[in-house]
Order: sequence, then structure tokens, then C-alpha cells
Amino acid sequence: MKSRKVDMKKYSLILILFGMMIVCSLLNSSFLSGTNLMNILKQVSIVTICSFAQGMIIITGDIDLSIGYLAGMAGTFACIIFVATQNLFLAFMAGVLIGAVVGAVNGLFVAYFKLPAFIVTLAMQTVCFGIICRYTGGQNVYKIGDFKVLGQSYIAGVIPITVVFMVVMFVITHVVLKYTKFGRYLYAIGGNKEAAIAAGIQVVKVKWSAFIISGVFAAIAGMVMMGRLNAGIPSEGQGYETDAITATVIGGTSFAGGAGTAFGTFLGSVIIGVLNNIMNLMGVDSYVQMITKGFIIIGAVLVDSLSKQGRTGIKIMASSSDAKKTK
Amino acid sequence: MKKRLLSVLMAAVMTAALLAGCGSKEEQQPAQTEAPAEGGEAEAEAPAPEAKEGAYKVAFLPTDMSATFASWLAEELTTAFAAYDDMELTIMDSKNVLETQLSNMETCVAQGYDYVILLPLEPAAEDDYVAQYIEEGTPFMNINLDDLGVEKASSVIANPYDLGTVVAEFAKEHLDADANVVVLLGPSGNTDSIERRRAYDDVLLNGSNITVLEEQIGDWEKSKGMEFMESWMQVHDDIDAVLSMNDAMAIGAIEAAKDAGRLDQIQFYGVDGLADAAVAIEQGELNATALQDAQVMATEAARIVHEVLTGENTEGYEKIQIPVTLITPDNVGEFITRYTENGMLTE
Repeated sequence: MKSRKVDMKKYSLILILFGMMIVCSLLNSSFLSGTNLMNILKQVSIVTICSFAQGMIIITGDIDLSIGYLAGMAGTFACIIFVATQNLFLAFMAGVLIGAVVGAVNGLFVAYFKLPAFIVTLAMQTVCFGIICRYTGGQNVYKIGDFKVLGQSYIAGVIPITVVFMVVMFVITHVVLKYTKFGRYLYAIGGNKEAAIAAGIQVVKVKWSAFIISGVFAAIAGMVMMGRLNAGIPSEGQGYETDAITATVIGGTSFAGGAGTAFGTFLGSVIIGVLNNIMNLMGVDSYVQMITKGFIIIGAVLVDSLSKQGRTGIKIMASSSDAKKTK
Repeated sequence: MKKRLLSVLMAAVMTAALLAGCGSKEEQQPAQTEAPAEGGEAEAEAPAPEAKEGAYKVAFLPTDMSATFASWLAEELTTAFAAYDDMELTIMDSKNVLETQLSNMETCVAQGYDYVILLPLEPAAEDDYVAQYIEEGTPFMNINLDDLGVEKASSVIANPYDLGTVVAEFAKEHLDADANVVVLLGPSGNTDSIERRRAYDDVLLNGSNITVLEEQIGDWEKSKGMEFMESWMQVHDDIDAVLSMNDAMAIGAIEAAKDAGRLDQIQFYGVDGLADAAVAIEQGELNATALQDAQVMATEAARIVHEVLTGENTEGYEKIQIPVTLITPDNVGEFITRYTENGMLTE
């Protein structure tokens, strides 16, 4: 019974997306073109990678506000390292390492010292931004050469590399959440922390790991972003953490923790992407765009809230109930 | 974007507060209590200058040290002030938050700085404070951006309208009379963006057959310029030029056009003239931009501050406009050399 309702929820997001796409194609003839649809995927891919990271953290009942700034810092450092060494692999791994270190610092304070994630990761925003700006003197990094293959190249001549990154990160997130013990622990901790502790889950270790993974994801998003921008621009990641929250919540991840899927997050992100795209295609005034987006977000959270108040249990995911079995 | 929205909101609130408080003098007194905490934090960040015995203490209050132009200006000011034995410069960042900048102003006055150089976030909202501090005895200068609302404040600016004008004039020579253009704007309410856009209207668009196909706020961000351009190219096959109010958005649009294979068919115009733009012009991608020269600005500012402090300037203030420089493929070489020399570009 429960799992059927879950399927309905997924189904409804897909329905919303298709409904939007039909309306959009009627509103503007350019919308359904292959290039435009590919553009949408390209435009949402970086935020979506951030959303996978955010989603994992929100599932545990926490939040990671450092994602956007970390993306800016790790991406720019990777550019600097690439310019210095001309070794893409080295630069990429260095970026990943930076992400892991920042994630580990977040985890240290949130999981180990049990400080509120909201404050710790908020503070980490300025730490990240300060470090990169101190290093670059507030200047951007230009002439990054082949680093741009991380964001501007195409696989088989048609599939943008940014989309490939998004798909790979989607698969990783999906597998981790659905098919690993670690994933089930994330749901268990977010669903009921005391029960998770009672069940013998090492909450500190699992949470700490989740923040490290979130940091790595953010760093990868940052590197893809700098590749796409063909420059190392520390300030460009700002705000991605909130866009990521929006995408995950629209995608059905509960702010209270314990529920959410990678596929839902992906759909949430694409829905925002389609919305942005159609408004730009139609030349909707900037201010009207802001208002519209704001209300869509409120609407999504309203649905999230109503579905919880109305029928408790509707949002408990299959994997969450699996986690309960581990008790 | 959130941050900029916030600063715009903040400006609105401050302006409203100022208007509301106009009747009574007391209400215009800035809250002194908030100052020490903010000031202490900001001061700790300032580069420790070598102590100059008995030197005049000068503070520079930039908008946001993580912004390319502000940090460049800070660097040039540091260099310019180092040439004077009797002046010493401290930098207090406002992190793009108007309230922080106002607090820093209070701190400077309270701590007895002899001169304050302000790179204002919102000149109109700050004018009343500046006027009051000057009246109380601390001279002020607005650098780079100024609505000229305070009579006795010094002013060293590159007029944003002129920056727009020189690029618009160049674009006028190179665009067909019936060209189709798209426009990328800075954050809502931003003086630079508004003035540059107004120059485009006056010089290029008004009374011409040029059509503005699309116009959106790109918040100065490269990624936004890129995203808008990707979408616009889906709807319009006939975009002849991108008129961007800064370089970053123009270069974002260039990346999008490159990807779509339409770079050759479209002209790109920016404003700012920093390292990224010089590279883009050198590579034949960006057509033109205009520079507000921080080096000239800093040298002039240091001169004026010195003359005011030593009493050489008897009026106590001086207002100057530094000329703006148009950068095109013809003269980009000298800027590439310059930015490489000052470290903004690496080989």
C-alpha cells in the first residue's frame, strides 16, 4: 500500500513535468526543439549535482549551506592548479580533495561536536569565499585552456559533458540511497535519530561521511561550472545552495528528513529549469520571473506540507521502511 | 543574486529611513552602538601598513573586496598611498552590504581617521551621512561612483554614462541601421547599469531602426549571460549584437554563441575593460569595452587627499572626472601588457 502511494507521488511529478512541457510547447514553438531541450539539461546540470548533495544531507535531517561557495572555491582552485600544471586529472583530483576536506570540516562540527548544521555550513560559506579570494586577490582566473573540456565538450558530438556529469552523479546518488546500507542509514537517521542510535547505527560516522560526500559533489559541480564558464570565477557558485534546496524540496524531499529520492530531486531541478527556460524564451520581464519563481517554490513546499499533515506515511519511501527493518 | 537583492532592499530601507527621519536631527544620528563590533572585524582584515610616525590616517571603504574592480582599486590605492610619507591607508571591506559600509563609516569617524575614501554601494542612500560627517570635521571622498549629492565631498569618478557612451558610439559605427540586438542589464536599481543603459538609449537606440529583441537582468553574472543567450538563440535567428552593461555577461553570451557556432554572426559589447575583456578582445570575440582606470583614479585620489590634509587645498574638496578609455582590437595590446605586468593576467 505504502509503496504504491510512493509510486503515485513520483508519477505525479512526472505528470507535472509533462503537463508543463505540453503547455510550454504551445506557448512557444522553439521550446520542443532538440537543442533547446538539451540547453535545459545543460543549464540545470550543475544545480542538479548540487541538489543531489543537498538532498542527501536533507534526508539526514540536516542542511548544507556551504555547497555554492564551496563549488566556487574548489572549482577556481582546480582552474589554478590546471593552469599551473596543465594536468587535468591532477586538477580534478585536487578539486575533489578540497571538497572532501571542507565536507570533513563541516562534518566535524555538525556530526562530532553536534553544532547546528545551519550555522556551521553558513559560516563555512564565508570561510570558503575568504580563502579563495585571499588567494586570488579577488581576481578571476582566465585563460584556463583545456580545463573547459569539463564543461563545454560533447560526448559523441551531441551529449554535453555537463549532462554526462549530471547523469553519472545521479546514478551514484541513486545507488547509494537505494542499494547501500549507508543510504538506508541516512534515511534512518533523518527519520528517527534515537531509533537509529538504538538500532546500533553509528550516527556520527554516517553523518560525517554524508557531509564529506556532499563536499565532493559540490566540488565536482564547481569544476564543471568553471569549465562551462571557461574561467575560474569564485563568486559564481553563490546561491546554488538555495537553488539546490528548492530543487530537492520540489522533488519531494522532506525538510524534516527521512524521505527523498535522487529521481525526485532530478525532476524537481528539471521542473525549475523548464520554468526558467520558457520564461526566457517568451521574454517574460525579469521582475515577473522573480515573483513567479517565488510562488512556485511556496506552492511546492505547500504540497510537501499538506501531504504530510493530511496523510502521514504517504511520503515514507520504500528505502525508508527498509531502514526500519534494520532495527 | 540573493546578496544583491538584499543590498537593493537594504538601500530602499535606508532611503526610506532617511526620508522618514528628515524632520528631526536626532533621528539622523547613526546608531553608534553597532559600530565597534563591525569595525573591529573589518580592521583585523586590513593589510598591516608599516607604521608611519605621525602620519595622517586615511581609510578606504570599498564595496566588496571580492569584486574584481574594487580589489583592483584597493591595490592601486595602496600603491598610490605608499608613495606618500605622511599618509597611511587602511582598508575596511563592506562585503557588498550597505549596513556594514555605514557602520565602517561610523567607526572611521569615531576612531579619528583624518580622511575617508568611500567606494559607495548606494551613493544616494549614503549622502546624508557623508554630509553630516563632513560637517562634523572628517573630510570624505566618493571614488568611482558618486551621485554628486554632497557639495563638500571630494569626488573622483569615471562617469558611468560616459562609459556607456563611448561603447555605444563605437557600436553605432559597426552595426547596421536596422540591426537586431539583445540587452543584458546589471542588478535591478544599480546606478552603473542604469546610466550605461541610458547612454545606449541616447546614442544608439532612440530614434533608430535598431530593434531590441530581448532585455533581461543578468545580475553582472557570466553564467546568467550565458543562460539567457542560450535561450535567446533558440527564439531568434537574427541577433546581430549583444549589448551588455558589463563584460562578464557579454563574455558569458560569447561562450553560448561559440557553443552554438554563431560567434561570427554576432557582435558583443561590454563595459569594464578588465583582464577578462582584454583577453576576449584580443581573441577577436568581444568587439569593444570601456575602462574605468583604477590606476588613474587612485593616483588622483591620493593627490587630492594629500592636498586637503596638508591644507594645500583651501576649499577642502575637489571634484574631478577621469576620462574613460575605449578598448577595441586596435589598442587592446597595451592593456594585455599592462594587466600582465600588474599580475591580473598570467601568461
